[in-house]
Amino acid sequence: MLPRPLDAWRGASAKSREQWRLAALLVAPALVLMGIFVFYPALQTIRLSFYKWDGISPEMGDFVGFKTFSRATDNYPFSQAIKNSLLWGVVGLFVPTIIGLVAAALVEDTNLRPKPLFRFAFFVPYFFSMAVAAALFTRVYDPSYGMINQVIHALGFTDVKPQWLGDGRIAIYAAMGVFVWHETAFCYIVFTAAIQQIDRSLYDAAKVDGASEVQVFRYITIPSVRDVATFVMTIMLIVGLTPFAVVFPLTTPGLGGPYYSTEILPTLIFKKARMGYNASEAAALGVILLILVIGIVSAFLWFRERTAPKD
Amino acid sequence: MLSTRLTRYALYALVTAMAIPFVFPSLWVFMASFSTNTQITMDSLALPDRLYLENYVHAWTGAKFSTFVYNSLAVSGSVTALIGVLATMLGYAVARLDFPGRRLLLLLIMMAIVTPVFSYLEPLTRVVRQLGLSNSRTAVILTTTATFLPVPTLLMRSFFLTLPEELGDAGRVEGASEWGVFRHIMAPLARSGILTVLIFAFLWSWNDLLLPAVFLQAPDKYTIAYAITTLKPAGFRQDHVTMFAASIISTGPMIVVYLLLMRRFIAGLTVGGLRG
Amino acid sequence: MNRFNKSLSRREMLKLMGVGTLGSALGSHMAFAQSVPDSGTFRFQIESGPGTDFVAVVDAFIEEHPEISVEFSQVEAAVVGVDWQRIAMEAGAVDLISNENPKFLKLDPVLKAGLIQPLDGYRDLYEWDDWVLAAALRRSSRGGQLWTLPLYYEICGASYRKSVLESFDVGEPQSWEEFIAMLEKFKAAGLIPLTNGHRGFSQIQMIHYQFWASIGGLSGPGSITDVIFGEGKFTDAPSVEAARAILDIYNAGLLDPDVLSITQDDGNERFISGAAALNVTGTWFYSEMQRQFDDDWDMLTMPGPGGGPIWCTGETEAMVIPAAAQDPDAAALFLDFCVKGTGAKILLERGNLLATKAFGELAIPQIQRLPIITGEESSLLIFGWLPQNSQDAYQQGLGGILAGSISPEQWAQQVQDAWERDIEDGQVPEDRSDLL
Repeated sequence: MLPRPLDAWRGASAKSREQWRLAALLVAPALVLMGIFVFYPALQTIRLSFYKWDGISPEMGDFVGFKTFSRATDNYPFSQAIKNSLLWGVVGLFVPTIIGLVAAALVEDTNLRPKPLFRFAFFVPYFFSMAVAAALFTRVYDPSYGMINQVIHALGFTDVKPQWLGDGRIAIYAAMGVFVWHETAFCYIVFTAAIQQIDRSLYDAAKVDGASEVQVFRYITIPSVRDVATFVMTIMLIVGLTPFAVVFPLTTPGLGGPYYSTEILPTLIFKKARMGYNASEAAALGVILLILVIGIVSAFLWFRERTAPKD
Repeated sequence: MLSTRLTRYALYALVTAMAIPFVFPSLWVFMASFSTNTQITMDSLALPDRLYLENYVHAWTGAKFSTFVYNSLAVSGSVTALIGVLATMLGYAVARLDFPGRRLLLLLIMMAIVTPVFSYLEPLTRVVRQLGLSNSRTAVILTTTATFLPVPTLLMRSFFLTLPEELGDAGRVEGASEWGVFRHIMAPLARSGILTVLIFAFLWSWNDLLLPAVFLQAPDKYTIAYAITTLKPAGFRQDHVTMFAASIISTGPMIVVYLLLMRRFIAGLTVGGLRG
Repeated sequence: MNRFNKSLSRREMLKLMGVGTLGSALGSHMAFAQSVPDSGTFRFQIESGPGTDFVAVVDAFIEEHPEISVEFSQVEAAVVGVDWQRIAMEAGAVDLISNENPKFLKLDPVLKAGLIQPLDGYRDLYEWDDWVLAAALRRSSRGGQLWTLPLYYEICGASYRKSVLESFDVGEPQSWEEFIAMLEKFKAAGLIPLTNGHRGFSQIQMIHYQFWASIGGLSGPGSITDVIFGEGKFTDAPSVEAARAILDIYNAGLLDPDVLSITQDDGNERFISGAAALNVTGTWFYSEMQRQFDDDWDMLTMPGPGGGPIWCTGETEAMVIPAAAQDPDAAALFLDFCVKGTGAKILLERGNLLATKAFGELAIPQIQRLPIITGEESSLLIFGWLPQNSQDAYQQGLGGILAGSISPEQWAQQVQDAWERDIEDGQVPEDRSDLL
């Protein structure tokens, strides 16, 4: 009749019992905090997505099953959000990570001087928070006085005037540009740390064997930073699937514009939950986002695990 | 000799070319922060005719960025301290202590990492309202801590796993309690890991936009990142220079962290953190 | 009376007292309810745009009423989300708050949540019926009770410099043809004929209102009023034609080519610097124009194809007193100060279009000629009347038309679908005819 942990407790050694007590003490504060602010609301989201509720009426509405899901997904903004989120995930996974890795390898594995200057240069974007970077880029992208168009103009292309944030065909890439600009710095600094830890004798041995720089990068650097790369790519994937801090400053309060070209799931959720009274739809979109992120990140980690070299 | 020199020049050219897109916008903002709105609208690439330091004075006092910096320091400082303590405790428990439900707890932490705040935004705001924490820095601190905690916890777990278990056993032989082993042997050894976690927590909470945007309504409580993104001068005008100056101000603490701590951050990140 | 007062919560009491005469009859006997206070404190929150004008109003109030203290704060409403008022009210943090008005997106939700108290007692006490315009009071009422007090109106249009129009020898256009001819002249002179911001909050919507009002008229089939309060649809001809007219001027290079990239504030800069001849804006920009140009400015309303100029008006800065207010009397005294006291005077002098009859003679000439003051009829400015789905479809879609992503017909269908969905979701009251 007794639950198994109690049996286990009785049979446990003094050391185990003491460890259990300490574990309870160490785990409890964090678990309570996460319980209140992560797990409970996450479970509520799943529940809420099956009910009809505007988020403000004192009483929650009827159980409607999957109806909220079909309402939340049968429209153009949603398909744009999914498309953009997936694209952004792919960009997050590869672009800042690859640029960061290549830059770190170029600076660390060669005799460039002064190294601190180059390190500083690649890390500069991270001094700004992502949201501030995006707010600054509203100016960088301005069609008339913006930095980019001014440079284009100064180079002599006087009739070229891209509407970076106004043209629906390029706005999403402009937004991703801010993301890449900012996050590459993070990838760069972590890869720098990882490359510095690589045993120097490996490089020397490769040189003796007559390996080229590219071969050294391919056969020594990349395999050595594999675990770090998995960590960085996972973070970039998660951030890339929810880059709200970029899209918000670029398009607020008309989030996701122009004409839904920069819509992502988080902007849709923010609009439903915070700019209108569609709590249920926001919850349904939240569940979809949850499934998307868990699915993609798990698939990525599974793939990394499967392709890991056996040692 | 010639070919190595050539490769060297080519290398410099390559790395510099790669660095330009990262440096140039920052330089442009830095330069423009000393300029005037008229100058920026006319020719934003030109150097200002003098240094308009008053932009900074205006940002700091007129636009109240002294308040926002204070708010950000209060929020990020609290979050950093809380995450430092909680991640160390939780990380040690899942790494080194043997207790029922440990695997389940680890799974929960993993789940929390891949659960974006956006997915549960509305219920979270309800929880905060029910706790009477609406429009408070406390709400931002607690929610930020709770949502950021999983990654630092895993980092600390990896870090503790790299420490030799024999050290703990030696302590136990000497008569140390389990608490004593954690507090006086393992935690001090994990110092560089903790520092890494602290820096992570500071960088991320300083950067965060969503939670301040959701939980702060009164502008006197805004954090700096949020204040900059919502900066709106009176009269429906554009005020580029104040915004640029405020952005440069906002980089202050980050630059301090970078210059003072980045080397140790890097060391901490790799020594144990990511190898486990 | 004291015993009675203690045994009931303030809210129950208000409910009991109901409205109108009964309320004020009871109120006259009870010192705590609906009387002119001789001391007190109220906490007042408003969005930061109009908040700048209210800084002066609050200062004047403190000077005139040293017995009342004010805790005043401003909120950046454009970004904090639609429900900042609700949160402040639920937290019991305010006694008086700007809730815009009388919009489906703002008033109805807080009514649903039971967060505000009726103002009828104060309406009688301060005789607001003699001062506040009847239509404004009517649109602010639900179920026979007054819930919010609109302090002023906003009207949208295209601002211009008088001297610029003179130098081109043109006057305010009375027809679409005159309007286009005017824009062509500006274009030929190398000016941006008409600037406008779409990024962020789309002001293209303001162009659409004006064309729509011009084409569809004040009422009748397909008019704005008919769509919002009657049987009309966004897909009716006037709305679609108005959308197509925007596309036409954009394709002809008569609308700022950067419109999709820039914000309202960028547009204002282009106008102030003289690069643009006309700027889509509204009465909220009046005080800044007065500051910049002294008297050398005014605003016109743009005629659409086949119509004459018709102004579009909406109420704004409607104040509510939360049910949980600690000192509603002090808050109401401040409201009255803005209806017929010095506050009204200050708001008017700063170019606001008051919803009251006080100090009308003091208004600047640009205000004097607007419909509320002249008594001329105007169309509805529906910004804020639309719930989130409709508003998003409306704004994003207008950008989509200019970008060539959708046709005006497709846009109209999308807005109509969103509107019907919002009605179905209960975001808009089923019966809206009595709100007119």
